[in-house]
Amino acid sequence: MDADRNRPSNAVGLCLLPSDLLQDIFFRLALPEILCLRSVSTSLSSLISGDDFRRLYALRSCSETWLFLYKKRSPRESMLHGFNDRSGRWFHIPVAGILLPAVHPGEDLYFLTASGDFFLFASNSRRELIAVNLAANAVKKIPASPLGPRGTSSWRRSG
Amino acid sequence: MASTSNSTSSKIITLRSSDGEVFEVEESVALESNLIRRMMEDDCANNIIPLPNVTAPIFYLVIEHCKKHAEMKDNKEKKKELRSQGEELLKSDPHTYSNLMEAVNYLDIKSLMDLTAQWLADFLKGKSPRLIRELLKIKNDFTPEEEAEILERNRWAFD
Repeated sequence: MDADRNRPSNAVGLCLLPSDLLQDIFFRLALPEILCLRSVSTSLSSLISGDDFRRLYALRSCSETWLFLYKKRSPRESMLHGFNDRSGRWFHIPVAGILLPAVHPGEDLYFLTASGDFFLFASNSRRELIAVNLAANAVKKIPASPLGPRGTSSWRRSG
Repeated sequence: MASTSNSTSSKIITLRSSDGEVFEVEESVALESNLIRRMMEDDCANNIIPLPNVTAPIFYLVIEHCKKHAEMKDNKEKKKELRSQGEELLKSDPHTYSNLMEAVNYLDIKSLMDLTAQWLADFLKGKSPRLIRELLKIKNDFTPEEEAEILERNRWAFD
C-alpha cells in the first residue's frame, strides 16, 4: 500500500516484538487466522503481506492438512468449507463472492484442489479452469484447458 | 560430563541485569539459556555475567518460568499451572508479556521460546481483529476507508 505513510505508532507490546518472533508465532496459525490478523493494525498487515512472510509460510504450511467441502446450491450461494488440522476447526472460506464475476449464469463449477492462497475450480460446461487467489481477492480464468466433459478426465492432486 | 548432576548443590552463577541488579542463579537454571551457556564457555564463568538487554523485573519473570518449566517436565498439573499463568499475564499485561518473549529470545531459551510463542498463538486463534486489539491493547491505526476495505476483503467467518 502507500509507502509514504509514517504515522506515529501507539502500538505497544505485540506490535513491537521483532518481526522474526512475530513470524514464529504466526507460523503456528492457519491461513484464515493469519489473514484475519491483517485487520488488526497496519504493522501486522504489512508484516503478513510481506514477501518474506508469505514465502516462509508457504514452505511451512506444506505440512498442514485441510479437508475441503464444496456445497453447491446455486453459484451465488455456493459455500466452501475447510477443516484445518492445525486449528482443529472448520472455516467458512468465502470464495463465492470472488468467483461470481468469473462465472457465467447457469455454469456448473467443481472444486478441484487448493494450494497456498489458491483454490482451483473447474467449469464443467465451458471447459475452463478458474483459479481464485483468496489473499489477493482475485479470480483468474485459465482458458483452453484440456479438461473434457465430466467423466472423460480424472483429476488428481499431486503431493 | 565429569560432575554428576545434583540440582540441590549445583553451582551458583551470578548475573547482572541492565538496571544493575545482581542475581544469583543455580547453574542448572542459568544453563537453560544458550546465551549464558556460550558466555560461560568463553571465559566469564567466574565473573558476573552482564545481561545488557534484560531488566531486573523481566529477568525475574524469566527465572520463575525457567524453574517452573524444569518442574513441569513430568507433571501435568504444573504444566497447566504455568500455562494459565502465562495466559493471565498475556491478558492482564501484554506489554510485559512481550518483554518476556523478547528476553527469552535474547537469552536464547529454546523451551520457553516455544511455550510463550504457542500460548500467544493459541490466544489469537479464532478471535476477531477487534477483540485482539482490545485484549492486547493494540491501537487501530487504519483509516476508516482502509478498515472498510480490509473488512470487505477479509470476510472470514469462523464456523
